[in-house]
Amino acid sequence: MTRRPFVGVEPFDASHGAGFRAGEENEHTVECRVVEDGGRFRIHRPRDAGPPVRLCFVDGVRRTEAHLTRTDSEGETVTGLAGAWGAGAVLIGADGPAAIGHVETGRAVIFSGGERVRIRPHPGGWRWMSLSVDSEEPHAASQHLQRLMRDTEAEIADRLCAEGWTVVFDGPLHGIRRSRTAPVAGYVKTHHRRTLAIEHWQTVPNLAVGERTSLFAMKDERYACYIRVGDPGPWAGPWAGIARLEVPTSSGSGQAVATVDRAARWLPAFASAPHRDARAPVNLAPVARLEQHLHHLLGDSRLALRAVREAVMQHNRDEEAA
Amino acid sequence: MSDLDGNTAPDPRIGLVDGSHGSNSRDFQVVLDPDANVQLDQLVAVRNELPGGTRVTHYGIVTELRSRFEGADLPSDTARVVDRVMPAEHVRLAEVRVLRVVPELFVAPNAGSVAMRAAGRDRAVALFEDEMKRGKLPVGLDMGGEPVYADMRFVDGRSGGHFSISGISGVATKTSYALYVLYQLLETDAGMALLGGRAERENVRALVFNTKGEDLLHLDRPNSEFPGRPGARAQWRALGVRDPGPFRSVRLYAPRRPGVSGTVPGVKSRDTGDVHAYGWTPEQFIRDQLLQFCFTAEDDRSTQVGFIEQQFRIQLLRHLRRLEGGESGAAVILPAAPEDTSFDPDRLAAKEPEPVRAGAGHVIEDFGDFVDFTEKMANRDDDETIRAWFGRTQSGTRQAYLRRLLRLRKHIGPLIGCGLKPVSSENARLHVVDISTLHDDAQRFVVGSLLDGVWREKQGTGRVPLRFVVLDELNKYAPAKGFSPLRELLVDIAERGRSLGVLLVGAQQAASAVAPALPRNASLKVAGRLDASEADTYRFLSSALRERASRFMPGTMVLSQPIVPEPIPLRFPFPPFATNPDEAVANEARDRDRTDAIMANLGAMSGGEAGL
Repeated sequence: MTRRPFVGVEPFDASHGAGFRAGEENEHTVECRVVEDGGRFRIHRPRDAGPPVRLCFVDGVRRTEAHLTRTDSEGETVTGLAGAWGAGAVLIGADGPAAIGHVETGRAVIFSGGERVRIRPHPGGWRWMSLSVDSEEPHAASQHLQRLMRDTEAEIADRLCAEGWTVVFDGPLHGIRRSRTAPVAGYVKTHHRRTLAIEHWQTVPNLAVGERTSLFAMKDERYACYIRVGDPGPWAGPWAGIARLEVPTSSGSGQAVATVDRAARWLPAFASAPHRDARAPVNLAPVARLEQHLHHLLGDSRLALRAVREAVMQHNRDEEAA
Repeated sequence: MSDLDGNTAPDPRIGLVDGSHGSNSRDFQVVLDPDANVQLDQLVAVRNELPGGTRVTHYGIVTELRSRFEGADLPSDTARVVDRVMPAEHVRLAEVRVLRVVPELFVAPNAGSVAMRAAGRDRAVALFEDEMKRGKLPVGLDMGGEPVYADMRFVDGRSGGHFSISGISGVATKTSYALYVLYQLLETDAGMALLGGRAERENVRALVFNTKGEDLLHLDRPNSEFPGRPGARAQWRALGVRDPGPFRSVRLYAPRRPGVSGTVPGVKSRDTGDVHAYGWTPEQFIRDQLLQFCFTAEDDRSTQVGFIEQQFRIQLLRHLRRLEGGESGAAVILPAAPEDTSFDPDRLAAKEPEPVRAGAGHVIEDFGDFVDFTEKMANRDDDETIRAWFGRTQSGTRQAYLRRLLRLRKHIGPLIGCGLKPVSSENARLHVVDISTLHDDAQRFVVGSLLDGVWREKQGTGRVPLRFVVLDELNKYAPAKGFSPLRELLVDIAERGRSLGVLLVGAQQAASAVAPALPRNASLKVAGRLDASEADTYRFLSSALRERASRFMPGTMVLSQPIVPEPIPLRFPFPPFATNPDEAVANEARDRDRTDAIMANLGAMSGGEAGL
């Protein structure tokens, strides 16, 4: 079947970048093996799973609040940052409203070059862990901050998995370590590379809301499939509204199928509305709200910057006195 | 002022002072705890320690309550939250207006402070009861059923006086509220104590004008519906009244029956023996200068008519003599006054008129005679006499004056006549004067004449004994605009009455229709259901309360008093006294049964005697 050429608009607000960037072949392109339906790639319409029960969404946020430098007595300067991160979950239990819980936040000063700098707490509730990374790469500190966030997310997800929740983890399923047998799914909103053979890849946009593709195997012991969570509108490109679900292979293919089937049925209800969210529909409403809440908990960024400046000044005075 | 912490039992916490909204010294918001049950008008206390260690308590009243989903920015988010798609926190907020800060420091309560329900001693302090050192009058129950008090100093004229009660007829229960206040003052032990004990109370008088049906002519009877209201007795008990019943010291007055020359009161729902006919003799009419109260309609004073009335009134006094040989009050107007007769109406009025024979002048035995006399004078050819009696006015003006008087003949006529007795302040504390059957002109005449009497009597006697006057439809007697002797009298009472112990309990549908001095001088302002289009004029209410007052149910009022900075909504209990004939009907039947039973007993006894 051939279709007339057509132009689509990315549903993401332009400031968020494009949701679909897998148009060009690059070194990241992989062609994963289809592990379901006898290797044939097809579209599934899972049965109605009823209203969501014990479903939760786990996500985190991070923020660099100040870029720092440290110059030693020899005049050598290393870079670092002061930043904050937070993670938490939205819990949809058997009854009652959706609730935010398991929230954890942290604040750290991270220097590259392996040197820790201890900054004293500042009045108003500002306190920083002092951390360092050995690398002297310019982004090393920032990556470490990201890792701190991902680790916190993973801990929360693990804990919730252990408590029997179906966990939807916002982002690729990297750091989930312990609860490999529990129902957990990574939820990936953007498509940066092709993951399937081209003939399969091109059929993915045929998904309707509530449907999923066959599972395929990715590296790092993950199964994955594509789902469509929402219809972004007639102007949108073919990949708009499509997300990738990742589940650990360790839970077995039966558990994997059950998890993605449930998710494919449940998640469209949580798709965001275009007027509500700049990354609608794939940015899920509970996740958006959780992120907003976490950002809120990190405090006012201007106050954070002021606190860092004052704390650093105090630090320098202390060093001088010593 | 001492810190109250130690004296107060711990109150249940209701929430925290909102820190996201910010508080100030006048109002703050409380983020309610999930299990807190808070309603409008509840009293709240917040304790803080200021830098330096001073402990301060803010007392406030809940003026509005809000509920929302925190985290939901758009209306459509609501459904998402309810459908459990979006997480959000349900928050409930109470807006609180500060009533009082103890000690009196103008500071804002700290964000995040614990807000408590103000109960017990806290509640009393919040409502300034500790400041009511000269006594406190229970003026109603708050929405939680607890008594609210008014500072007696602002009731009895010591620091202020007068009630101004506003609200729509029928639903605002203005008269009922006025009677409730009178009942508390005149009929309860607490009221007696507040008025200065038994001796003082025995001298207190209340004059109540009945303007609707014969409703208030039954205040001395129990209300037959009262026993059917089980809650009412408890409410009265909460207000300190153990045994509510009818008014016990009452005298009822009604105009005499129209078309009858005697002194039979024109009442339908009561025995004529229970009610006194009232009126004035021609001599009283002239000596009390009541002619001025015949011309109180709006246009009477915008023309020369008022001037003629003044001139004519003084000449009547100058020429007044008493008809010889009778105590009926008939007056004789001499054709000419002696040369040396004063023109000072007060001096003339104070003098006992000398008796003369009927032939000595024009005999006035009723209002008709008086109108005839006026007509005769107006038609005199003799310029000098005309000038003396009517001033330098045109004949057209004199005719207008006459026309008005002729019109009044029918309305005021029944109120003037030989042998009639005016409303006296003797023998009872509560005097109910029926004016409901009278024409507007006559109503104004009666109100003006009686108030003038009270006012004159009280000049120079000081504040006690107190005189309360209950008058509905004030706008009719003291309209917002214009000039009339009655309006001026009421304004005078409003302005000076409190120091002379004449205390007005005035009611009106709309305060804007009444001479501004009246509501302005009232220390206690009460509003029942207000007309929404009128609500703007009630500046003593916050906009939220004004809006609320336009939806008040009968029996709910809001009271503003000088020492409490915010008006307090309140309710008052169902009356134990009949406030209309229907409520008294059952009693009549009961009375009749009782009488029948006594008669039957008497019959049996006499029958027995006969048998002996």
